[in-house]
Amino acid sequence: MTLKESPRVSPVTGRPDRRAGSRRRSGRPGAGTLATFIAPGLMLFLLFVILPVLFAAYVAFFRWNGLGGVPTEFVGLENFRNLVQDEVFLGDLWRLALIVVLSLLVQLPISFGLAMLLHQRFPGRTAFRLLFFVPYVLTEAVTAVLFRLVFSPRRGFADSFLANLGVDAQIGWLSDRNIIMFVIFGILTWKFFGFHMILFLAGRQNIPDELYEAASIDGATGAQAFRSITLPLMGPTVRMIVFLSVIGSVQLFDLVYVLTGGGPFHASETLAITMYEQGFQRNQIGYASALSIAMFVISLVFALLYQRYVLNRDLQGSITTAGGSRS
Amino acid sequence: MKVTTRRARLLRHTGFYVAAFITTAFVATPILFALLGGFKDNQQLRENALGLPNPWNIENYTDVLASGAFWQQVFSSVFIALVTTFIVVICSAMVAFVFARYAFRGREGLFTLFAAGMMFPFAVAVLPLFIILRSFELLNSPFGVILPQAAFGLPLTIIILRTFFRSIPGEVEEAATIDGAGPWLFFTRILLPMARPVLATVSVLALVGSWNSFLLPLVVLQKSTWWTLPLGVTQFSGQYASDTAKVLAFVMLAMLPALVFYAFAERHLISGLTSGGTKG
Amino acid sequence: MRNPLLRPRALVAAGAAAALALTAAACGDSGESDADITWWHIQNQDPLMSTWQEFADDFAADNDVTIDVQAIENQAFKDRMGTASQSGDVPDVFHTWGGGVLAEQVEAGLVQDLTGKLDCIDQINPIALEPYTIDGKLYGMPFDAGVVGFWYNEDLFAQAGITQPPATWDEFLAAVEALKDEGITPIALAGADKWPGHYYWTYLAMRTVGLDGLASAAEAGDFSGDGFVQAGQMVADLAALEPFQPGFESAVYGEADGQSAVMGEGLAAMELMGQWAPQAQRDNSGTEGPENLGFFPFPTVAGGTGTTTEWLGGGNGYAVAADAPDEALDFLCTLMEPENYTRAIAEGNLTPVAADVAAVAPDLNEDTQKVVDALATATGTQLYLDQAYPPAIGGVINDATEGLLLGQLTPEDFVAMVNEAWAAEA
Repeated sequence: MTLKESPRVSPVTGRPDRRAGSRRRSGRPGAGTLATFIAPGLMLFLLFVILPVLFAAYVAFFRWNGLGGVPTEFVGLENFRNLVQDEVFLGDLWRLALIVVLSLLVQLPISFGLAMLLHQRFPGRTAFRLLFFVPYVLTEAVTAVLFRLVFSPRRGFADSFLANLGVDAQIGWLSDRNIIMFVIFGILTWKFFGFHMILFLAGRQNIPDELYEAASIDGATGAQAFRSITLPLMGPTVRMIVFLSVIGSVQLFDLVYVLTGGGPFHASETLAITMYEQGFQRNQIGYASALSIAMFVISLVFALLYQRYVLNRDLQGSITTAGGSRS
Repeated sequence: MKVTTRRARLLRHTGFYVAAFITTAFVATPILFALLGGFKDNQQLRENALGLPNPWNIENYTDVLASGAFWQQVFSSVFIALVTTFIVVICSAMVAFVFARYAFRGREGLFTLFAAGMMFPFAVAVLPLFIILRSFELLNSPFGVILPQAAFGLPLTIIILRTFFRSIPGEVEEAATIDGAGPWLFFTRILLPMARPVLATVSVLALVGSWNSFLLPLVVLQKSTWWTLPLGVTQFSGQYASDTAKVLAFVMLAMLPALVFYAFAERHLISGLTSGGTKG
Repeated sequence: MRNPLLRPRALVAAGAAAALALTAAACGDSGESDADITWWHIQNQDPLMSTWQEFADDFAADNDVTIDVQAIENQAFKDRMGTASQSGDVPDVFHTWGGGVLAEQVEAGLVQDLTGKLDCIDQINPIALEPYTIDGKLYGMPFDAGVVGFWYNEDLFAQAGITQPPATWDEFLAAVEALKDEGITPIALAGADKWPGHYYWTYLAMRTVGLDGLASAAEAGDFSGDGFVQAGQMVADLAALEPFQPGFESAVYGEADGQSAVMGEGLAAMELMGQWAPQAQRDNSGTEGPENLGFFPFPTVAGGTGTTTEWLGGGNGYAVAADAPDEALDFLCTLMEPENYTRAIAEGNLTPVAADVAAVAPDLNEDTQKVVDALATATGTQLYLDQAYPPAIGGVINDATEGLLLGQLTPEDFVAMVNEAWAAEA
């Protein structure tokens, strides 16, 4: 979905907009009626979605501790200049890239594989499908509290488990700067693979069986059918899941904030955590607003580019429309 | 697939089960750790983190269930989720109805504005939202959480509902019009009842989104009066930091409502997610 | 259907009315009547948590008010206070350490001037009021005051052949080495909480440049002096010896595996911590704590101007919100009633701030006595820097110390970050 495309292409169906509403009808409602229908939603949206973003864009040009009143100390681009030199912010971007790359290379293939598995008919598959989806249902913040205990040194589950296997490894699950992002990635995988699996499964189920029957008649092997039917026809689903995954990663907060608070020393910090710390803990509202705007721009640019170069080929038949979040 | 022999199928099935059971262990272990850990005491947790509780100790669970704070948080979470859902579904349905069935100048522009809202990560808005809510005096009020959540839920809900409303044939409306129904009557008496399944789907999405929401309540609800469960769990785990078993019991009980809900609304949840992605 | 406009409007109006009613109902529940008091404190461990609750319940029953008591873990409390200050709505009674953090809250108009309003104020030692006094006005009531020093497990020290507590930094480093050689974790530290780490840098700065040096640096907002860089280097050198317990990077102070529990279980030989440490060791570990717990002041640094009688320290107190009901003030004095205060001191091992200590605490616990003695002979004190300075600067100091301890920042980086924070605050 983009600002540019949607007037011409329905983001839902991908079909050119036929202007369904422009058909002639009797008893056309007046503008007042239409306005009444739209007003509550529009008010809500303008007040709590558009206004905050505009306000953040304004405050980003001030130095302001936020304690009452309105911002007065205009500092121009200083907040943005500081931002691009802030090693924590730059680190956030690196960690974002790491999570995205790991998701694409590890998490999505696993989910894809499991979806293919659960598409097969075998006794108990419904139970497995239900079970694999359970972590996605759990609240991120609660999950984080749980995993903090799982990985707690000495009495946590992870260390005890390893010790039972005879490995006295003393792994600093949450304390080792070098592995913390991988631990977090592991938890994210635990939490989200079921969601992606369900989306893949839905995509797979949309492929008509006739195609495979035809291929089999033509003598294609299972591997060939997979390559020439499954993969291409799953393309739209894959591309949409990648999109959801990236947008979700940009706003990662709950899980990491509760699990590590971004530590040790920023080693697991995310954009949203840095924004929260600067804004609410250190009372640097102007700077935190600049960071918010940076997040906004990152999401927007990614969405526009992705739409332009990846999605616009196959909006047709995509299983989902747009947007999405991990939180 | 006709050539598949019985043995090959057996082999294949064995492969399925191995993969499925490994994944099951991966998924279930942390949850079982919480469930069983809640039945242990701290001594047992330290010395026997893996095994079954011995003796089984229900005190942690009963303590949590007996605390007023837990039930207050359950109530807040439920209240906030229900009101959020109500507002977002009603507002979205009205907007989507107009977008789907009437042409007017600026319609596509407006729709694009709403749809673009999906691009706004919620975290971007939380800081200015906080200041806006402060000037509306909505901090520490459940509506400080409900209204922004509902607003951020609009785009996805509108998109899903608009698709559905468009799919209803024009003849239905024409018939209604001939019978003298205006747009309002058509909307409430004909369209909404027809849309029941899809309304259920978007409601489930909104409920789940609200139930899981953390960042917004974290900044809006400083006082415990309206704390939701996610806030309660994090606070509890800080307050009873040295009582690991009790925290595990609280975690388990906090997960329970979502699990029960999932068991009942699984179909709607899945169909909602596969038809629209999610928007927390 | 004559007038299609009528019905939707009516419905919207009804909806709006319903929403308003709901809001009103909600506010009715959460909004405070005059007689409601919210109280945030950080005594989140028994016995004091229950004692505080009991005092609150008694006061509520006697005065026909309700008190909503929130026992919040230290770090979580700081986080929530930050947001609450921003929201302009702080609890009626809340924990404070005084200093620059309190000053910023005062400046924002959130805190009530208590000068002359507390009947019980003459029961408190005037020296203890200092951190809570801003521009000659009193904004908080202390209930405990003490110093930060090394609490050490005497048995583990003896095991490593250390007979005398180290008096100089070099001796200290030698002791760390000796403990390590014996296979003992020398120091327990809550790396994730950051504030316990900042004691090290602060003390080293106090020992190199002295209290005056620290004060003038804060005055000028310039920490570039050699002494500060040296202090940072010494923190880094200490960290390079790897003296902390495994996993300290993610440890918090009061968790089951945190700094305090590690000390309590005798798994580390010492911790640099305030007067509450012995009690916290027992609470968090669920044990009786180390059998022989000693206390020694932060060592001196060769060539530095600071002495061992200059202490980093501070106390715990409560401030009152600007719009709090008068009952909140009465409640504070309830805590100081001799009977109650004596009980709190005994159960929570508080370090008394009473003008007449003997009256409220005839026989102090041995550990508390050590802190009281240290205070009695102190030649100077410095409030914890993360409270003494405004939050933006205190936050940077905490954060940067963590960076030093984890080898992620150089002493020069540290100084630059602190200077930058002061410059931004100016």
